[in-house]
Amino acid sequence: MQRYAATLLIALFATLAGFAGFNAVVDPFGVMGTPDIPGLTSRDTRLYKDGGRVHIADRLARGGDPAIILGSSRTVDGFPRDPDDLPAGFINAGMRGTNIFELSQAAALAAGDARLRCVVIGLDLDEFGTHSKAKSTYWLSALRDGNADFARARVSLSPSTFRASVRMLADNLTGSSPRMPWVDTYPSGAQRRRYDDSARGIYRFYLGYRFDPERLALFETVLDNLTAQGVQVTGFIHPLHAWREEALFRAGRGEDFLAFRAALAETFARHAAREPVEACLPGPASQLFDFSGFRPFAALPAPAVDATAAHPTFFEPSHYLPHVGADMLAIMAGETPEDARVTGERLAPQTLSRSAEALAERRAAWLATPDGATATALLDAVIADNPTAQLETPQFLNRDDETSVADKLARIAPRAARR
Amino acid sequence: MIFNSFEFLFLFLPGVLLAYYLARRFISHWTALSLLAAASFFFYAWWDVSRAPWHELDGWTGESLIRSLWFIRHVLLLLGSVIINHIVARLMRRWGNQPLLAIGIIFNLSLLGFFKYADFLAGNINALTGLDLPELGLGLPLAISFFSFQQISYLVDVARRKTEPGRFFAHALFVSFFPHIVAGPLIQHHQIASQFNDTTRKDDIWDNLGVGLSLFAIGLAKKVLIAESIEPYASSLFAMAERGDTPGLVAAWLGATAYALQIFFDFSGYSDMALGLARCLGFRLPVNFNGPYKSASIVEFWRRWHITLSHFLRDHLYIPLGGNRHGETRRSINLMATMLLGGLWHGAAWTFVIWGGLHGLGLTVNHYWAKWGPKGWFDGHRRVLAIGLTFAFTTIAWVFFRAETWSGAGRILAGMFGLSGLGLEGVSGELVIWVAFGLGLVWSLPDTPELFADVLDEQTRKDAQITPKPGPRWRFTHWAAIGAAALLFLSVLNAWKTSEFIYYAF
Repeated sequence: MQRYAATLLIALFATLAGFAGFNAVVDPFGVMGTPDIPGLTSRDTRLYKDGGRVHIADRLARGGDPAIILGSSRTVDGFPRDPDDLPAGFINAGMRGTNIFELSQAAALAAGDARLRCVVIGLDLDEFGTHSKAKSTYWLSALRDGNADFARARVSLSPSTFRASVRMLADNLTGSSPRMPWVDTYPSGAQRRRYDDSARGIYRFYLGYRFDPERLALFETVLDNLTAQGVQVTGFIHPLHAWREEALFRAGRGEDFLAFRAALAETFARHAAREPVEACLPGPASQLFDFSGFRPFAALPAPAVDATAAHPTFFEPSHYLPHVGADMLAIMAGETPEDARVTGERLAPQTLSRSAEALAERRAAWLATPDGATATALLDAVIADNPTAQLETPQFLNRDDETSVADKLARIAPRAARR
Repeated sequence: MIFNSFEFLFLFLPGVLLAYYLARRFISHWTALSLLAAASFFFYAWWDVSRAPWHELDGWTGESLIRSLWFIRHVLLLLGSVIINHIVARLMRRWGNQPLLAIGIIFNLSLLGFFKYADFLAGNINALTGLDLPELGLGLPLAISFFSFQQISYLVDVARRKTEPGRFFAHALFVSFFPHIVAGPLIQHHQIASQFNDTTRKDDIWDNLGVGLSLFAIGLAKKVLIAESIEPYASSLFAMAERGDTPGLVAAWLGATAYALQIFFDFSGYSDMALGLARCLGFRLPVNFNGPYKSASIVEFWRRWHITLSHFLRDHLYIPLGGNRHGETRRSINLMATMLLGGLWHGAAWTFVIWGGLHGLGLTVNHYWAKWGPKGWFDGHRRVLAIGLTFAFTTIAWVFFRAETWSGAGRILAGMFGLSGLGLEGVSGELVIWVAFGLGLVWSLPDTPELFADVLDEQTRKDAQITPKPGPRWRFTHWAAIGAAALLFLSVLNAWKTSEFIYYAF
């Protein structure tokens, strides 16, 4: 038995130590602080390849940023990544593939640091659906329990990290880099295919979409705690290209979307009367902006069938360009956007009906354009095929999820005194 | 601290193993046990300590002291329970069992009732009478159901002179022993007291670690690799039903079966880990599971599922009620009462009572079938049918166990009985694969006690009524060690996503 037990222990600890050591040395997500090895680990090509959860969460857990912009890939791609291109103090803390569960955790985690003044958070209907609560690296990151040290230990013992480590080593050895999804010029037809495919896929997505009011309630808990502790929270509804918004309406989710906007506006309004300690944007402690709904910059025609140059405002129907995000931030700051086509407005319960009417008018106007007719024809063809809804096993919040948010919120109050 | 957490695996467990064996080797057996008791209280306190807002305390003031004590109130409750029960046991030795035994049992049941059932009772009274009794909302102290029963078992064993009250910290360790405090196995005092008192026991550390870590590896893999993978599908079905959806026949059966598998791999995984951890320290805990879904009747199911709870209920409730000594009708009543209370022990909700009641009914029908039905009808190849029927029955009963409301349970059962259509919508390929995989494992492979039958001592096997059949056994070879290490390695790598064990809620 001695040989058996010794083999078991040696095999276990050797593999654990080797695995963790390798991941810690390569450090693909940039959280360990290990020195670079020239030619092997000096190029951080995989820092955000998990959607940025591990890296961003580590940064939020360390604290020090006075203002953060949170959101999904729309925020990641739609706002400048370089802090120098953003107003003073802001950082782009977007994470790909997130939804409101992860975003709530991120906001609660960031507010644990007394230096945080403001959270700007991008939202849309997708983030409140019943699909998967979190991507796999969420469970490794400090988003999960708010503990950066434990997160590093988890990261070092993760297959996801190992995969990223191997790829980063390969990138460094071969000089390659991950493929960039967005570029300035595309092969002829590539962009249009992206619009066509996206509209088809998103129609199926919205057919199977299901709103989860419990996720909105979870977000409101975080909003309530943050504003109560003097953090200004500014929400904004992401713009989507008209092709995608039309797919939403044609899938029968138009009413859901309007109801969602109303619920969100009422949620933000409930906490507006609080006093922010040091606001980053003009306005109350909690406010909501709306950039959605067939606005001029989002209703620019889709790329022509043979176009090669990038679309002026959207990478593809779901993702806008960073200059649009910068202009949106300017509008939220009460400034004039550089691109006059970028518009948005404060959304409050009292402006909801007027805003919904304006949205309907903009939609009708766009549908009357050639681009609107093209999109309509495409969606007519999709619907004629009687596509099946894209269904995922619905996931709902459980006790663990609520506890993990509550634990983070419990850490905010005592530090708020120093804010 | 949960067994699959970083702090447990890499800090607490190695630290405790090292401290225990060093103390036993270089100081004394009793010092080692004291250390183990202290570590177990720390393990229990961690739930409160790790979440308490310590930074809110303002220096060493009286208010801070009071708040600190409030933060650790549950561990103080546990300590208080140990002190009072120990005093009662000592007094029983001096002045005789009655009325002290009754007082001790009432004290433990009152503690359990106050924390677990007060709000349930108030809610029911309010609903029945229209009164507005306030609910206390105290929050359930972790593992109170388990440690209250442990204390009762201690008092009863002392009263029956199966054991002595023993040293205080040995009693404290019996109740708080970290491998089992949170979710069992429920140990009767006489099963472990002799191990605690054996000062001359020689530690075969390699044997303890070899067997213990292998058991732990299997338990961790059951929880992390299987139960956690199946959990989203089961949770999804129940959550959707709670929100008003009515699943069809296929979706309902697959979801309910997913839950049946999840709870088995979760709870039996926990029990394997508990046995393994105790064995790493050289202690033998009773077996809690032995392939329950291979049972061909509900009677057999309860001999294989949560065996230590079955034994506790049998010894401390069913037999004192009269057991089977007063005829068939009385036996049925006793069975039903035992199972209803057993259901209520799991949680303060009528759904648990119904779950217990269904099993009571199942047991009664089983006994009547055994007496009046055709003899041996389910033998031979028909045993497969009996296993299938038993599994279907337990799966239907799990719906009440898992559902949060009557309406949620009703919608799933309507689906399972075909009242809501075929229900293929929303049935994913992954769900079908996981359910098939899980059923394949539970029906084709031996459960952990069978696999490790060669290294279980005779008393443990006898307690769990395990008669090992010929079949695969865990061989302690070089390759098996590498296999166990690989299983542990894979489980550790996937452990971060896991949630608490289902039975932590009880």
